[in-house]
Amino acid sequence: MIRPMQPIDGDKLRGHLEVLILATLEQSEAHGLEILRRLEAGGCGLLRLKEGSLYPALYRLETAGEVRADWEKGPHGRRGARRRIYRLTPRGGRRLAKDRGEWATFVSTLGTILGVPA
Amino acid sequence: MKPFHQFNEQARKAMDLAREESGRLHHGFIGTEHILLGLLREESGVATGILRSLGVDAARVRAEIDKLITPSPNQNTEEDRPLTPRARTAINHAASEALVLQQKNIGPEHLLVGLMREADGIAGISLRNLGLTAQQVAMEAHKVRLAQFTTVERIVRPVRAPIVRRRKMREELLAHLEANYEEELVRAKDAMTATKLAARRLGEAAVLTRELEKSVPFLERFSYGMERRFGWRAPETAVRWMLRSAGQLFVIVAAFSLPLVTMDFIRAGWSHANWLAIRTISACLLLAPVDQFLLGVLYFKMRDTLWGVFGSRQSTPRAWLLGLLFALVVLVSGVGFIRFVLT
Repeated sequence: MIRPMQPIDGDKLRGHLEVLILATLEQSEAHGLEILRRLEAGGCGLLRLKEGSLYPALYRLETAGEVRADWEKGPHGRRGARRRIYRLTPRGGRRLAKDRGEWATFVSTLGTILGVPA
Repeated sequence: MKPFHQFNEQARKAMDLAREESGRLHHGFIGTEHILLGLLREESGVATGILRSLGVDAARVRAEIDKLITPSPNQNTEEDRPLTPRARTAINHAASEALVLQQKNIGPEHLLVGLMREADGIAGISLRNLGLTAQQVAMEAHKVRLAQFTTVERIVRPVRAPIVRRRKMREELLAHLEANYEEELVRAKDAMTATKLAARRLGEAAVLTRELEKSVPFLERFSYGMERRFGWRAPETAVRWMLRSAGQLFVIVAAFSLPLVTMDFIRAGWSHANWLAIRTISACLLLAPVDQFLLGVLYFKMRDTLWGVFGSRQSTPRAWLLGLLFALVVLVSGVGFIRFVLT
């Protein structure tokens, strides 16, 4: 029997959010809302994230030097609230590759024990 | 010249309609009254909506304006209708509203508030005659924006982080909230519902505050502590702030130097060397706080005169004069220090 899947909310995402953000930035730079859109598109609507929580994660990544942020340059100059554009740094790229490897090992190990081959 | 380049589509439409109104009345100019009439006719109904929420409907405003103006008898078919000085001032007021509220474009709501702020314009007079005040209209017109500011402030203000970091958080969250609002407005069609939905998407304020605070790097936590202790505290004037920091400086210098002198005294007893040390230190204790106070106050005065902010007049000669005073204080205290120590 196929049950409708439970949405994945903030609690289950904790600890993975950062690497998910890095993955969305791999294709190209993006501002906050765009990152959320990419996460939503990738998660087929099953990811439930309070949007504000994105920013603390981004600030941590910025402090760690894994993303770089610049204020957007609009035609309006300094008028109005600006967004910040985040892009992956080489260090962020390395972290993404490492975490991907770890994730693969994690999933295959647990999968084998649970009897769900990856 | 690009007229009204900062205006959004609705505001531009209202200005076109204002020109039409002026033509209909055979007036050769666009005054505040024509802008108000234009706003009342503008289809999105932003301005009429604001007035309606304040219990004033468009027909009453039109009747009120009609009392104050008369159509010109001579057929004025002039195509190029200039703005009257009052209309221009009202538009400038609208632009500063948008600037203060960090909005990119001027909309009908800003124009309406701008008209209200130009108290002697016909638009301002008629709206006031209907019992409205500028404050009332502004609160209603900027309801959505103010709610957005409140949402952001609830999240960011309690975060223990340096001012610069918090400013960054504010602007980014505000931009995000703004985009959310635009999205929700398409679906909800009602401004207040859209505002609530947009805020809800961000998450609970207390939770976000905690998460944001956890993301503050260690060094910034430290500088937040320093800011709290030594930085400017909200309603303080520059003079008071500098007085406080002069006091703090005195305490710090004393706390560092007194044990040193005492130790020296215990170790070596009375000597010419520690007499010199005591003189030096007491000179520091006397001069450092005074200099801190005088130079600090002069610095702020100079800054304000250079930019002409906080109610001070912008004047380069005055800034030079203050600069000279600054140099004089440095010179006098330098010479005073040396003389005090050496004689």
